[in-house]
Amino acid sequence: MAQIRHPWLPHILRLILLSSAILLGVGLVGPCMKIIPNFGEFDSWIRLLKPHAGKTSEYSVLSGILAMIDHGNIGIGLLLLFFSALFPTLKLAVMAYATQTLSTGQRAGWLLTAAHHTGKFSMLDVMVLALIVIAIKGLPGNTQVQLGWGVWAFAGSVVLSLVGSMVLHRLEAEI
Amino acid sequence: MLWAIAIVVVVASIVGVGWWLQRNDRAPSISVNATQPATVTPDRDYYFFVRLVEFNPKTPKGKSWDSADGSAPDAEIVLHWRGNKTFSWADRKDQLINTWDLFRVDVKDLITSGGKIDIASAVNAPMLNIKPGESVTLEIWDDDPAFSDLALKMEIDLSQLRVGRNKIIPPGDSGVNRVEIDMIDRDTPLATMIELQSAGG
Repeated sequence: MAQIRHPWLPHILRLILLSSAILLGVGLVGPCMKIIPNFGEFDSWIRLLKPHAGKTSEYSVLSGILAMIDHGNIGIGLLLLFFSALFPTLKLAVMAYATQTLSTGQRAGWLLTAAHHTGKFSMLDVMVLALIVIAIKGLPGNTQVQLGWGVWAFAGSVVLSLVGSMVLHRLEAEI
Repeated sequence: MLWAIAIVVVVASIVGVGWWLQRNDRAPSISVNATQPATVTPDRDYYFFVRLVEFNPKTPKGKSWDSADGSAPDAEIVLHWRGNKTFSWADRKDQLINTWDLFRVDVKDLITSGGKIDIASAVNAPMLNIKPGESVTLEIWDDDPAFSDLALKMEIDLSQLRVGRNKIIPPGDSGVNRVEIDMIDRDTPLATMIELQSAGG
């Protein structure tokens, strides 16, 4: 059984993965987007005649996806749910399992390969968010989209998982 | 394996707690107007808004509303207060159940006034000041070009009205089955009045 040159490295990695998991959970349910509708020169009329159309709506990543599924976009909703919630959780779990294996001096084998391949999809969920924001920013009538702290938590989780992936490879190299 | 399970549990727990907190945050918005007084306050101004009038299928004399083609009545509501005809709600054609909106804009006036409108003038209800023992007279007509039929004429004691929705069931021998009147405080913010309109009261 091989020894690790820096025995503290698995502890650092676990801390990174745990922080990433906490930020992921917070990012999924924290306020992500606030949509403030505006109807341009007809704004006051539409607010008067159809007040519900002018209401500000706030979404978290999860509530946004569930609203999408609720409105009949089941396919895209499930796809987003997979890439935004289930997939990052599984990725972190695989990385944590690989860390545990490496910390005992054993090679991680397929776990490390899986962690490496899943890492390639890390930014996909953030890209989806960015596309939604750009799409709504492009709406006429000065409709505004304000990003909430949930986005920062979510992005922080992605960044930490990337850092975790790099540390994991370093750990593998030490064995 | 323990750490992998721990990661899944951490994410699931935070999502679960966050979701539960969000649901609890939304719950209180269900209760509205719980602290409103039972009846209107004397010496205050209120909008008197006739929201709904439902006619009986036949006139008080048991005849069809329109003997020519058998169509339902053309409702027109007139309000008298302190000896003056104070307000009337516009005709509705051939309807047994007639409703009106709290806001009404006269497009012709809007155009002739240069496209500007005073929002207060768009409120489709007169403002009344409540004095103890004072009443208004509400007339509900089937408006016909030749002979209009009076479906119901009733005195309403203003001090007996409640703030918000009032459902009035007229006597069975009248031509009207029910009337709904909203009493809205003059100081009600415009946004709340818009909410009242969109929520149906």
